[in-house]
Amino acid sequence: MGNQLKSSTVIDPAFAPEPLLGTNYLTLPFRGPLAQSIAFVTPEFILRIANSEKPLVVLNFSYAEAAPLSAGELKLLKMLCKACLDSGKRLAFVKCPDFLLQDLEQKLDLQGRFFSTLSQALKSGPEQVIAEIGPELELLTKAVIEVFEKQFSIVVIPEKPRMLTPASVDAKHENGIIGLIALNSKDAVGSLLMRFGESTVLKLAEQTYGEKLPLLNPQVTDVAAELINMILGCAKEELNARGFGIEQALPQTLVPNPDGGGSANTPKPCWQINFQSPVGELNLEICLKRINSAKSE
Amino acid sequence: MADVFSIHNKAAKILVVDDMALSRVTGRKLLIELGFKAIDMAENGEIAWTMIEKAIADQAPYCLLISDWMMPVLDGMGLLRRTKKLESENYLPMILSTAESDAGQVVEAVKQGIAAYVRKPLTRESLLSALERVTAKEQQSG
Amino acid sequence: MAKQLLKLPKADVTSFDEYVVIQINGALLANQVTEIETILTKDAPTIPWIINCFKSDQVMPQETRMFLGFKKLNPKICLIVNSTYRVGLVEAGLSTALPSAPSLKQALTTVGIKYKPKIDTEFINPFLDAAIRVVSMQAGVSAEAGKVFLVKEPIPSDISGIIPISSPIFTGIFSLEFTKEVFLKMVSKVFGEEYLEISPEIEGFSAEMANMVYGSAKGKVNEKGYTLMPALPTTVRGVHLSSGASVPVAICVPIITDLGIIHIVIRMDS
Repeated sequence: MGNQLKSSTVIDPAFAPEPLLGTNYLTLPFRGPLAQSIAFVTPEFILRIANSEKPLVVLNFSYAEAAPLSAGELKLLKMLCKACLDSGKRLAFVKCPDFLLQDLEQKLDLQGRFFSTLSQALKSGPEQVIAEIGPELELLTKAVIEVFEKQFSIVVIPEKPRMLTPASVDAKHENGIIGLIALNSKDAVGSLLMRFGESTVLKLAEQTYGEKLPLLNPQVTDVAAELINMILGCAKEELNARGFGIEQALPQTLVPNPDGGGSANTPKPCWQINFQSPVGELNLEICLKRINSAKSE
Repeated sequence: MADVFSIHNKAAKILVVDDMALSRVTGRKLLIELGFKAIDMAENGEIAWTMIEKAIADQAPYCLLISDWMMPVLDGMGLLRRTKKLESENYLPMILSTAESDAGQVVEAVKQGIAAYVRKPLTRESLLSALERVTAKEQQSG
Repeated sequence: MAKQLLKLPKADVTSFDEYVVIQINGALLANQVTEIETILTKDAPTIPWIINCFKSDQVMPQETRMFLGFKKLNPKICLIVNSTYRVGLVEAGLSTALPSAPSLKQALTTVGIKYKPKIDTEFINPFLDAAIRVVSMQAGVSAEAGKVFLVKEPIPSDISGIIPISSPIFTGIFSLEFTKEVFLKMVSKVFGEEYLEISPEIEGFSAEMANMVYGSAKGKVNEKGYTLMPALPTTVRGVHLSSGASVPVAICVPIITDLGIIHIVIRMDS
């Protein structure tokens, strides 16, 4: 009977498959004797996972000691899988033991979502489309145009917004500095990131301060944080009228390390908008999603 | 004793407070374009307060404060509360300069006693309008 | 130094030497209100009382009567509220009677106390515990915390996952910092495939790990009244945060694993 649980077995809490939350998925890492790990899959646990906001649930058996399970233990796993599927989630299994794989495939329509590595499981999707933030993209685009016009009397022209998914290949961006601001609220989560090429930000700084300053001068690096702050400030009232509930946010500037180069990326999927301007290219990256505060994770 | 601020008094001594150099320097530039000559700058409310106290001690007090809201060490509202405790002869009106577009927060700031507010990015027109509002208020109370 | 004065199912009262924070998590019974008033008038009669009701959206008459009752006992009070609640106070005509602010820092300024940024163990420990748990569960390796230290020089890092933290009590950045070697070992272990270079395909893993640690720590930290909200991580390579005009306080905790050391850095904005 392998390591099936007897009533006298003391269950080690270290084996609990406590969910680990990625940005668009959660993993359930089953550990130790499989039966003991599955013992933590209670109806409350199933409800919690099914109510999660994450569209992909990965059951990871890489660290579990597989052995045949009792009918009751199998039933718990199936209930978990069914609850996830019923709530519209996709499932992926990593290193699922053969006996379990066969049983689950018989009983549930899992469409062959079994993988030998976590990497493959995550690549399996879902492709999450966030096209529903169209009006918000427009708001933020207008905010960028307004800020540059008022602050520098510069006309910036937006190109067509481009959605980046995990599979997208991002364009190479000119090295420079990055303004970053988080959009945190109980109704939404997201971030705005604006990339300024080195030549672009130096020109903006020269126009403001009337002298040429080096890239890492605090007066220059402040430009990125202040501009992203103003952009959010311009859009905030309307974003909040649309239910995003953004409170105060602190802008940050990311500057290159001494050895040069460097990048910053928000999680995919996200939107990118390039802006053409007389001082060079600007690139705005937007990741914004509403959250359902009634959901658990 | 501080002069009552008036937009027509180009010798009025003004203090611009902002932790971000971009906004600080922009504020100063626009004031110069509008003809003002005596403009000082500070990086945060605490430094600004030291400058305000020194100016009073030197009998050359500031007539107007233009301050950002969110700053390290001492923010705009904290600075406003301190200036409210100045003797009436050293009354110092404050224009709050903010990227904040939340009407509720701005209303709250007005209740706390700011003389006017101006949204960032600052423009000549928006700053002029704020200066005119302060002038009108000063004339009414004077 | 934080000292808990009272813990009730829906309220916590904690003293921080120069001020007290009263964390309200729901409706209180009359006897509970009396209990809070008794402890405050006994142990903290003259220092400011900061009432954190940031999570509330609705101004409830019973609650505001309680706050006004507190104010009668100690005029130096300030509420920490979100913008919806603040509008509610204005509409109820209470915004003057009940001063409010959107953050602890601004609330302290309102009551005349200089805000001194500090990161206490109540805040750090959940992140430590979460990091150890996430690393050991994700990678199947042992992990333990090294000695905490103040950051004076940049931490050696080739790739990081950073999460801006914005809450009424704490504002700053949480980051997980990896050297290239440790990152590749970890990714290879977790993903089950060998990686020899940090490619766009795997670089997001730094953000994912940061997200998992943050998500795991958030619940515990929020039990202590910090009201951290969900946040998105950013993957950062070859760049670092500019400190700008403020001088941030940053602490680092090394997480020692079989694959090498990962650094947790918590930076607090002043």
